[in-house]
Amino acid sequence: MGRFVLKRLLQVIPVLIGISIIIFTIMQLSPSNPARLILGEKATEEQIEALSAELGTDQPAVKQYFNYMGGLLHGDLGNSYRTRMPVMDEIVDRFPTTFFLAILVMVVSTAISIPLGVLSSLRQNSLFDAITTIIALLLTAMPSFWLGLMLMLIFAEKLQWLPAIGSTEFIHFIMPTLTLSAANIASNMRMTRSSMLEVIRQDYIRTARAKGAPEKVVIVKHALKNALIPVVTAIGMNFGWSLGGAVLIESVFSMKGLGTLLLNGVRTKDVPVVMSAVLVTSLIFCVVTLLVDISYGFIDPRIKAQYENKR
Amino acid sequence: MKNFKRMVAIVVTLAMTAALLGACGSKSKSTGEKKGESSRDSLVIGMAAEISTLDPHMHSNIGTANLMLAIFESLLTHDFVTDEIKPGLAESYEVSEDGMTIDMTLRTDFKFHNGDPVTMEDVLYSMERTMESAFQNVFWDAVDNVEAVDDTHLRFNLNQPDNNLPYYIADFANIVPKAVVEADPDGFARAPIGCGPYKFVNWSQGMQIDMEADPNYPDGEAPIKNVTWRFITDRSTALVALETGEVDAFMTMNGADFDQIRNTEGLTLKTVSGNNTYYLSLNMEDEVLSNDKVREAICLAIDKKSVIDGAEYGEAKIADHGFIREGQVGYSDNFKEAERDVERGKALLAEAGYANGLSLELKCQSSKTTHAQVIQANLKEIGIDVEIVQLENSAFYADLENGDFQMEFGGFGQYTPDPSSTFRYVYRSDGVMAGNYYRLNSPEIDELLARGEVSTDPEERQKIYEEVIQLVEDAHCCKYIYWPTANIAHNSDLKGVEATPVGEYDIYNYYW
Repeated sequence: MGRFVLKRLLQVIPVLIGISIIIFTIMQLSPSNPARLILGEKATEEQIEALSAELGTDQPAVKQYFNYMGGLLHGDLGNSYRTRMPVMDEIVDRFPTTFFLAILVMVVSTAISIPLGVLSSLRQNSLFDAITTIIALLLTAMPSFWLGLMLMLIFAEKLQWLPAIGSTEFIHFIMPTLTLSAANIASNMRMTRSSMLEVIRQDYIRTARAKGAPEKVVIVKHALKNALIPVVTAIGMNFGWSLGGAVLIESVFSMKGLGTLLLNGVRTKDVPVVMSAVLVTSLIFCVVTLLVDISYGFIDPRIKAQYENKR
Repeated sequence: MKNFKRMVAIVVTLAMTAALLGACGSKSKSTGEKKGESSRDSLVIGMAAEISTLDPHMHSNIGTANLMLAIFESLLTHDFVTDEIKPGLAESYEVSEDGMTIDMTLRTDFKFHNGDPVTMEDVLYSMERTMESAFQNVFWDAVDNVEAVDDTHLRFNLNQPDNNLPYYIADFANIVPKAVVEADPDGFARAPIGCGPYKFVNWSQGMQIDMEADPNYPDGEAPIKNVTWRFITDRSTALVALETGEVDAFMTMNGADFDQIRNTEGLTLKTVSGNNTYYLSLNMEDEVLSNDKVREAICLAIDKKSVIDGAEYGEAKIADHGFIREGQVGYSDNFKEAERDVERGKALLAEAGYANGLSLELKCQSSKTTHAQVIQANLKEIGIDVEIVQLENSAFYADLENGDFQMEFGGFGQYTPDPSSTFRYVYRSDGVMAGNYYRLNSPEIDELLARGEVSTDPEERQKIYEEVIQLVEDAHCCKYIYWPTANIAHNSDLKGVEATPVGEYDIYNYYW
């Protein structure tokens, strides 16, 4: 198991390198000059050239890339073109907010979607199933920023129960979490339902029932555990999606997270900020994916054996 | 014996009273006088754009200057409501008759927030710093040097007269403490020390900046003690925050929200005509548009009011004099702008050889798509089919700089009320990068502008700029459409708030 984990961790490195090349290339292709964006439209050629030299953006793209990656190896994420402050400080400052939001979203959506999914599968084609299906479709169809604004209008403006903006206290995370959870709940619930339906029809479930096991044990210990593999995969993928969705939601609720940092970085073509934010987010996602894969070993003994046989 | 005891008692009582009064007296001296009272001691004011530095010499954005206005002081003060120049750190200023020197007398009662007095050395250092700054050096072309005549007298020596200097001095040449900046310039940009009415307290990057009134400010402590500047990029969110009271004021709301704000009890919207101008530019170097008849036809087809009604919710003013507002140099009742005339437009197009119509491309920023659509509809009436290409800001400006466009819709803001500051960017043939996107190349206009910049005779300048404006109109390089509304929305209990054309808000005047 240990070797498996180590191997997977090493695999993260080429993934991150690949991402860094893609992001860097995309940033280079964007048709604007960071110095021009910082100095404004009234700046002269000389001023722009001087600032470009200072930032290092007048050098060939490949050289800039290697400069950045070289710094990365020393734990230096570079300095923001706009604020000239170390990007590392910004990321450390903002990371907890985004991470906490993504974890909350994962916990809330899992806690709601799995029971609903199980119940829908057991009451297939019933009124309950129909209602939950419709709700799932609605939640998936709603754009997240619209949902966020609607929640804000209702709970902050009309009812005045919750604050509209901020990210310093737990209460600030309620609406953003609900917003991001919506689509997750929908997809996890559907995934749980279809996975369960497949498993329930299996022979070993019939055997367990025939042996007289209580229904609860049949469902949770036998059916659900076997149905969980695709669900856990979906949860992992949705975590990654939440990290991306956080960009919009943090902007709507004016939260101090990696999302707003990334958005501002893209707007001002602040290459170090964008590279660092994307790489950090990708690293988190790789680690979470690894944890998901490891969890398979705990859910399914066959898979655990596979991991261990790869000695 | 009894009398002696009484005497002692009286003396001791008197002494204690004297000591008490003395203590009270010195206490009130150290807290300083207040400019005025305020029933609440905190204010949260919101803005959409986040600033990237609190170093006053490392920006050229007038919007950013809002915070600088609170923390720092300049030699002169720009009253943004009336556009007057008033004393600042300099209690008086005098421009020589030939316009080649400016003399100022410094006040001696200003102190930086760390307690150090503001000295001539700090002033000279600050002026040198802004003149060398990549963001601001372009303002000081006319200045040869700044020298100290003595400890309290400052002199600007110019190489040519410049009518914009007082504004640049007021808006950008903030005075900073030399010792503090030299010791740690990067730290200074994050935690500045100035001598303005508010002290910097804390900066939560991307979220907010906190300030506190300086009790030792010579003109009186600001009425509101604690101010927080909150950055909220999404204006819908900003509106909700205003309504919930999480923000007490917000600068520059969307025109779409004006009615809602006006109808919300407890909120007030203040508006004034802004100093930006929005117009349609025609690339004179484009194959089709190099034909003056085509350009004139396009200009005749534009219906300014329809753009305002269709894209600005009716909340803008028709730009009927290009960049120049009433009261500014160059404004004239004799200015002749062609009125909308669709028939004549069609006729001109036919004369130019496009009787069967014409296809042109119009580039705009994504925030101006509706405006482009109205213009598209206007031009359809004279037989021009417009294809709209909307671009993200940086791509848009890149295309304008490279001349990679036929028509474009965009805006430009005045820096100062004097036309020379704007016209040097938008009309001079060597100013392409910064505003002359239509590639206007007129030796006659260049010569007039060069004369206007250095003239000190108000009558001569008025004639020069009137002529320039008329020549530009007749060149048909662009069609000025509207002046947007500058606005600030705020809690109705907050007093002293005024909307300003340039979007600068002096919180020193605010109180509850």
